[in-house]
Amino acid sequence: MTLTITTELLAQVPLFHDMKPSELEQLAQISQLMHFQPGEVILRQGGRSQNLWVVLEGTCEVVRHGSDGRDVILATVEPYANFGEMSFFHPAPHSASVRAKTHVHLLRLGRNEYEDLIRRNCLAAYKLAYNAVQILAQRLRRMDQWVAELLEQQEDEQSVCEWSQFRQTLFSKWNL
Amino acid sequence: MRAFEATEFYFHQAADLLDLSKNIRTLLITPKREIQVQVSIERDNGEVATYIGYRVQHDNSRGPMKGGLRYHPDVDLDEVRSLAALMTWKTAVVEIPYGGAKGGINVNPRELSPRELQKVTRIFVDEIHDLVGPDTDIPAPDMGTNAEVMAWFMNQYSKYHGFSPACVTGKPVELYGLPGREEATGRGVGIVTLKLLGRLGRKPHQCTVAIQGFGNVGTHTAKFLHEADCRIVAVSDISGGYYRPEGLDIPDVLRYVMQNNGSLSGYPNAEPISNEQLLTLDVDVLIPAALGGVFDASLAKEVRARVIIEAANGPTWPEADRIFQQREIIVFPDIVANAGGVTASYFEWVQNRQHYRWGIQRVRQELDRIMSESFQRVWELAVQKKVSLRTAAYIIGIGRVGRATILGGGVP
Repeated sequence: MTLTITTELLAQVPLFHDMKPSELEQLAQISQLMHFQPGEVILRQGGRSQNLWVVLEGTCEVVRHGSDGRDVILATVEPYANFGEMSFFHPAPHSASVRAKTHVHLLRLGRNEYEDLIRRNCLAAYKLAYNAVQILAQRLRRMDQWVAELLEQQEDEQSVCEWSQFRQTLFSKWNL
Repeated sequence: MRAFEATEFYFHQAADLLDLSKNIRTLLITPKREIQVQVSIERDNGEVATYIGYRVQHDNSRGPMKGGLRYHPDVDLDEVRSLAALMTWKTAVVEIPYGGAKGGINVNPRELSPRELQKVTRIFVDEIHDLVGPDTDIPAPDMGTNAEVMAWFMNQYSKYHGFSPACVTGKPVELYGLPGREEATGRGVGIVTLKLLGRLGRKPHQCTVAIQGFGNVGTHTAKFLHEADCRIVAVSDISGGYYRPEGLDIPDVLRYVMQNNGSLSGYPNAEPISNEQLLTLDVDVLIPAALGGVFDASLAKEVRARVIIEAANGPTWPEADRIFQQREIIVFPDIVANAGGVTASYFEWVQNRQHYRWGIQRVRQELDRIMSESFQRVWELAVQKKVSLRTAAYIIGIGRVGRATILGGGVP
């Protein structure tokens, strides 16, 4: 099973949004196409590799190994989405593992090669960073919303406290 | 299930309707305080006897706690606890300013001489006097106790706390007791019966009544309803039932019982029937005025009366209650029907505290008012919310206790 990297294919990747074919080629040159079997681990929780991954075909899953020994699947990553970007831009151990759910074809971009592009003032590298910022900002916004909802929910729980419910039952609904 | 456990079932039935949470139910059901004491005496024959005395103080959000003191060999904490809660709902539903309590000693009063009973009573008071009193918890007569026991109680309590006639009710009339207390429960039963018949558009003289139990409550109920023109066709006691389709001559029955050591046994001017037959007679009103747990599911299917007035505490098992509802037999619940007794106790306490004595006419007038108002409240709520009279009564009781708890500041 082979997959040919074309500029048409890469143009669909959000991380490569708004790039000219020549810029896409520049990035393709420093990337490797990788293939994984179902169940193979691509990135290990706690590991410190600095690669940016883009799914071109197949599905991956993000798995967190709990301290109780159980695995929790946090998300699945579908074609054209990326992972590994947090460690890529900010070195830290991976917070979860990513493994192949199906046969997957991935594009791997290494940190060193990327830094070379930056040093050469390559516009493609800066565009990639700009796109990554947008993707991360989206994710941050979703997180903010989620936190806000969580807080609201807590407030709701406080306002339906048993005692005020009891009071309402006896003084409003059943004040006979 | 023991008879008193039905109370808890009926509580939950009402609590379900009010949609009370589990924690709020626990708050309402849990007694405020439970007291258990040793009561040991030397008997007349020199033997040492040890009994257990109980006092459960269930709730005082609406006022000092009030409830009977029973002497019976089977008394235990579970029973006393349940009956204490029942008193909380009962005093609330008739809106007298009391909470609920109950007490007892596991002694068989028939086996003890009056001297021994007096010792038992005084020792019990010695043990609990600090925890009861006119503003705290006021006992009253119950199964196995009477006015005399209350007089001993008051006398012993007063040794510790000075003159305190209001520390118990149901005392002898000569010792700060209430004229009219004896008849009060029966009178209350009679009043709610007449009110109920009125709501059904029935005139008393058109109605037939059967009364099971011819003790204090049964006799006074019979007397009251007879004087109100109802036709009492049957009465019964432990010796059996006595039936006269045209109506019994109640003054004649009462005279007979007076001369026959309080028993109906051998009453000549009626047809003897069994207790079971009495309960299934084709009458308008059936009044169980003896023990609890009389109506089970199978008997409930046989009952032919249109109306049941629960003069006794807990005569109806929950399954029987359901069957009565299905068969559209109206059941007027114990917690209101027999509340005349505790209401009269309240009058006695009020007079003791004021050192002022009402005449019997005022006692009757006030009792009639409280019973009538309570009846009306329960009836209207049952109609308005389409629930049984029993559930309506519990809802009113629980509601008043709950509101008092909330208004008092609730729980910290």
